[in-house]
Amino acid sequence: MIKDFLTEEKVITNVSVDTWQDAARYAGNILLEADKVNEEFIDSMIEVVNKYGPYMILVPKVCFFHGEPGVNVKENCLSLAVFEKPVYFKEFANQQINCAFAFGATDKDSHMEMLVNLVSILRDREFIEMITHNAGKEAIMEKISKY
Amino acid sequence: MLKIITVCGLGVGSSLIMKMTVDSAMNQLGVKCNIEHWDMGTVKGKPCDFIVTTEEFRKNFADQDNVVYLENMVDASEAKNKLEQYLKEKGII
Repeated sequence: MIKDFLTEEKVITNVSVDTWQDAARYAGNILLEADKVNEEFIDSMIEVVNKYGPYMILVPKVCFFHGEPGVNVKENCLSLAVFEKPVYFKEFANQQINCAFAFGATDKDSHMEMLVNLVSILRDREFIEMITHNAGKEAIMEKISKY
Repeated sequence: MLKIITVCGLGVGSSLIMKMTVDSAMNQLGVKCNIEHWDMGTVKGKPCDFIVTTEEFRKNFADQDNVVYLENMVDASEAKNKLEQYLKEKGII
């Protein structure tokens, strides 16, 4: 279930960052502090954007940062940072995001069930409204508790 | 059976998510298919009928006409419309 991954300490609202790199670091640091990933993982989330562009904007305005699977990830994990104001990928056609997930995987497919559940919550329009409009944490957690 | 490959940068997140979305869209269209997910680094040369990826990778597939691009990777109705159009264009349905 998504609620098992997006626990209280892994969801932060009202986040203020200026650049997409800071956005990725912020969401990544939530996982670092929870001891789920190490620093190198956060660097790899940024490198993949530098290499390919922000293709991980899964739903308009919703970014799904993820890095190389493997040794830098201690456990499959997910965090969510909801931004106070939009963040732009200046070097990439100024694409806008209003929130960012950070996702760590230990290998290529053990996280399939988590992604199935993530897709369900990302198809919930109310949830997308909330996380793209910096809704209160309580309301967001209440929604997450259903998935 | 049609073989489809979904592609993203690392082959662990977005390509898997697109695989699920394409799977439900193809089910709705009633077309049987086998879907694999790969990363940009290893996808070149893999045999398939067509590729599904995101708009961001359009530049990487500029020389190919068998690619469908999604804007919202979880939206099965967008995927269904785009896949239906593609399959009709190619005379598959």
